[in-house]
Amino acid sequence: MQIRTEIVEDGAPGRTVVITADGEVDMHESPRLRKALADSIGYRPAAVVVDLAGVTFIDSSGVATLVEAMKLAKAAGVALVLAGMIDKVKDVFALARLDKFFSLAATRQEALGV
Amino acid sequence: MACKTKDLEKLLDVYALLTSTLDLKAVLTEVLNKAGAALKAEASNIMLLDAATGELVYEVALGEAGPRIMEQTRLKAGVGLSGWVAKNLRPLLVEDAYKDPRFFPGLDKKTGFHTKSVICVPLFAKEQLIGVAQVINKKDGAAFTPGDQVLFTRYCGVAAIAIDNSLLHGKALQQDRLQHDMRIAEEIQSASLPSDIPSIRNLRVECRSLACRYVAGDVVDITRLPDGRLAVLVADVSGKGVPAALFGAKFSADFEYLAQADPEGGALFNRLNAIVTKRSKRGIFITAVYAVIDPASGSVEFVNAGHLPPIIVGPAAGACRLAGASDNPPLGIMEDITYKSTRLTLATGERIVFMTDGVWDAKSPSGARLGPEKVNEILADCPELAVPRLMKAISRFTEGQALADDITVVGVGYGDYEERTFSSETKSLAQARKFVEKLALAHGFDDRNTGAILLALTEAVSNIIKHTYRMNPDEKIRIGVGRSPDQFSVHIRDWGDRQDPGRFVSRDLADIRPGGLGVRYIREVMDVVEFDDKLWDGNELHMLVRGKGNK
Repeated sequence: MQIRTEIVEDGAPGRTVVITADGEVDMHESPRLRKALADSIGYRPAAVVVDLAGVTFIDSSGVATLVEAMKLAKAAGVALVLAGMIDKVKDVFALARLDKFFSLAATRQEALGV
Repeated sequence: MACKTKDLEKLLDVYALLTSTLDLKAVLTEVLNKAGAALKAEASNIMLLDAATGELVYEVALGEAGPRIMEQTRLKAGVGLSGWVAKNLRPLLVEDAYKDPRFFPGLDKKTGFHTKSVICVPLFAKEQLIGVAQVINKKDGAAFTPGDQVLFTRYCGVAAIAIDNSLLHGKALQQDRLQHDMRIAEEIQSASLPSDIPSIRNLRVECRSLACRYVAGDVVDITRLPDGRLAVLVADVSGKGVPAALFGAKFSADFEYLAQADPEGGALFNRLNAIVTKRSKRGIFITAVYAVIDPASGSVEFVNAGHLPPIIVGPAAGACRLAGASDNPPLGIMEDITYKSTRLTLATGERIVFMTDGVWDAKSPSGARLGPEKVNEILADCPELAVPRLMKAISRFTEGQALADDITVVGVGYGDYEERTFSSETKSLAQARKFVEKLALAHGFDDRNTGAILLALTEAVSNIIKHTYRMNPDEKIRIGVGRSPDQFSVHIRDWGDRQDPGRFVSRDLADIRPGGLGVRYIREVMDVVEFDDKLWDGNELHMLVRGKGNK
């Protein structure tokens, strides 16, 4: 899994950290995503957008990582948006009825409001 | 009166000795010391009865001549005053030993001691004689009195309890040692059971075995022959427990040796029968079935020596046929028998099941027998899971009661089947997905449904890595994938500690928190999920998706 982090200053929500993940997220990979999320939320931007368009597989450890980040973000007053999930990744959230719990955007652009 | 109270106090002290040590000699020496002091005796001794010979064996001898008496070790039955007491089970008070015809002066001659007055008392435990105790000669030269005899008898009561305790303790230790040895034997036998069954494409092999005691008389051998065929032996030695296990272990070694030279069934059984017949003692014999299965064609060549006929189940649920009863006698009955093998062909999706009659004989707490009809019904109900379901059914039927006989079941499924073994590292997750993804897509599942199957697979393997192997990367996980026209199955095997299926609960979805979703995903995605904890080492998870692709 590849992870890139960038800061977008002119996003609609305000200063936004965009984390772009590509590849598969499983127990082997999720610790790195967890660290990227914790670092980004710790930076206290207005929002964190997790661009998952390049993620082809996610398991419960990946979902748990995002649930944990969502709680962390909420406590820190940071908006967390998951963007660009392909259908089979979205299915994993839907199976656990978590699709309603997260803020979802179809694309990274939609999440940034640009 | 004061004197009597003092005597009783001393006696109470002696009782305290019983709880102070398990060293029999130490307790008896103390009892004699105290009795000797109370009675002002020159010498004393305790002899234990050797029940096998009737002889009395010196356990403790005190006084000047004590060490020399101990050198004599034992007294023949009926000899001397102690021999008379042991025979007549009555105490004896003798004022002058040399005037008593029952007295045996031989010991005095050897030791230089001069016996005069003697009290000799039988020792009993649970109304059985266990020995004799005596005090000899008052220090003041007077004879012992009936009062002395009463007091000494009381001391002897304590000695008898100490001896009985010691004998019981010795028996318990012996029992412990025996149980310990049996557990080791069980471990040795488990280690000889086929655990890492050879992977052969198109054959799914399963093996389960349960011993009704610590060790079983069932023999099982599963081998991949050099030409790629699978050879299976299931045998049952008559009788149970250690004798059957020992006979079976030798038979197993003979089988391995002879099968290497020539694995063809008929000839192999002819040679085995000659050996077993020669070696058989007390009418011991072996029923056995041996099959060589070709993974390319599904052809099975098998020879049956008085064993249960193999059962063939599948491909559809409910389908069940017998492979034909044996017309050969068991091995070890008589020499010069020609064993003949039979041929049959398995259709794709069929599974041949070999078992020992312990399966039929499994008993419920009310005494009902599982029986062949019920066994066939269970096996045919879901051919893909025939073996694990049968083992679960046996466990439910017997409700954990001791088995009536050893149980061995081997199932070989013929059809589209592949398996791979992975290390227990987290990076194996991606490799395992690649292996299963290729087969799921080939089966006809679309990308989305394949993704769902890979999710269930990843969750199951992650659980093994995390919980069963506790992140130890040096273990192994075997993944098998079976495909039939109406079913896609994934079997995940580990060799870790036995897991409790009750622990695998999916969490309430209203409870939004990290973790606890893996089991939920597996159950949501798969049509059938069965955890198999009836292997002798490790666990296996069976997951089935019905239908030919696109769930």
